[in-house]
Amino acid sequence: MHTTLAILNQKGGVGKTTTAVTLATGLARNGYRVLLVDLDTQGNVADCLGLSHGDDLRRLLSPDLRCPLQQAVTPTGVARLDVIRSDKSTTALKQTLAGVTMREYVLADVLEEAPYDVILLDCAPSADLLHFAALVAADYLLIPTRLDKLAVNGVRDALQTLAALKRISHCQVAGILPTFYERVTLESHEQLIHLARTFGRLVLPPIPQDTQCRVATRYGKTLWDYAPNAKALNGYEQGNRRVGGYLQVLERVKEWL
Amino acid sequence: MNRNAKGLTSFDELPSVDPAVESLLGQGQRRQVEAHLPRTERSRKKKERERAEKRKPHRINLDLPVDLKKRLEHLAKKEGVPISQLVAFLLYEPVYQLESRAISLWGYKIASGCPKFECNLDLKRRADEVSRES
Repeated sequence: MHTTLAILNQKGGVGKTTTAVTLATGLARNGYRVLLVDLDTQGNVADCLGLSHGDDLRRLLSPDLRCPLQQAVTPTGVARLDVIRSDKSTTALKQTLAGVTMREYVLADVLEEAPYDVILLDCAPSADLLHFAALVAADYLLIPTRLDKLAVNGVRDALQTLAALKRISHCQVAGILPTFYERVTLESHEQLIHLARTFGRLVLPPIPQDTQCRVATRYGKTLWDYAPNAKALNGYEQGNRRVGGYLQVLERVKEWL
Repeated sequence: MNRNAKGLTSFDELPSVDPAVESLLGQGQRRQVEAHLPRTERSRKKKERERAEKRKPHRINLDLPVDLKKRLEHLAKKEGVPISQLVAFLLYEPVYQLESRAISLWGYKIASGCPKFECNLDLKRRADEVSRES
């Protein structure tokens, strides 16, 4: 039995793909069998892992192709981590699926018997059909958000979408992940307080703003491989401990599994 | 946005939040408060913080029984030494004995309700025994 986690925010550029790739790799390194599904037509998951783009998602979900899951997955080179890649063909897939009945269940159905411990769904920044299918397939929702007004509005939109799907989705909000956190700016501080005041314990330790994330993507490597000492992974130093960062978030995610 | 007199939102009335978030917010608020202090005061605070952070890797907080704490304070005052050094001085021998299994915690361990630790130590029993022996 696997746990499915959707990573979603209708606002773009909030760190969804970086979060998905970093958490997926982190979980795989911790011994979990992980499948990362890219639902975005931009196919950035493949870029982040140093793979070429591919139409794995279309081959898996398209009613006329429907290849078995094991034939659709691509090994990443990271032990225990497989990926379903996406590319521009996903646009055609969405058009095809628009005419299919029970289309919101299409992802849940193909992933039902998947032999993995964790499935991460990296959603596109738009409220489209695959977005709804991800929320129906997912057990938990993780919402990354930049600490600015527009991205925080995206959190509200994601929650509204989830509420609208409550009859067909059992997905629960597991956490809101502040990204691009700058501890020296008042705006980051204010927005983090705003989030914490609104969502309490749902707010996860923030991910510090770190250029290493962008550089790692450029080289097609994960943060764990390219910059294991990066601030975004290890968080800020506070006395003799570290606060925030993907390592701490990974520990929270492991509690949900 | 709700701002208090210091020019930032207070996080005092937050609902229960993740400890890491609370810690970062506390640090952020302290930084903002310090930014409004005069230059000399700010520099003094910074030095104090750096000194405290250097000490932290070797520091632990201990929950001591009230009477033991009072006795240690009294002894430290009488001998004119810092209480932390006095505690370190007194600990060397029993720590060595426990490591070499000359003494053991057997008989003092009681089940703990806390998920973090398996057992607690019956300190009251230990205190009674030591006072009887001495």
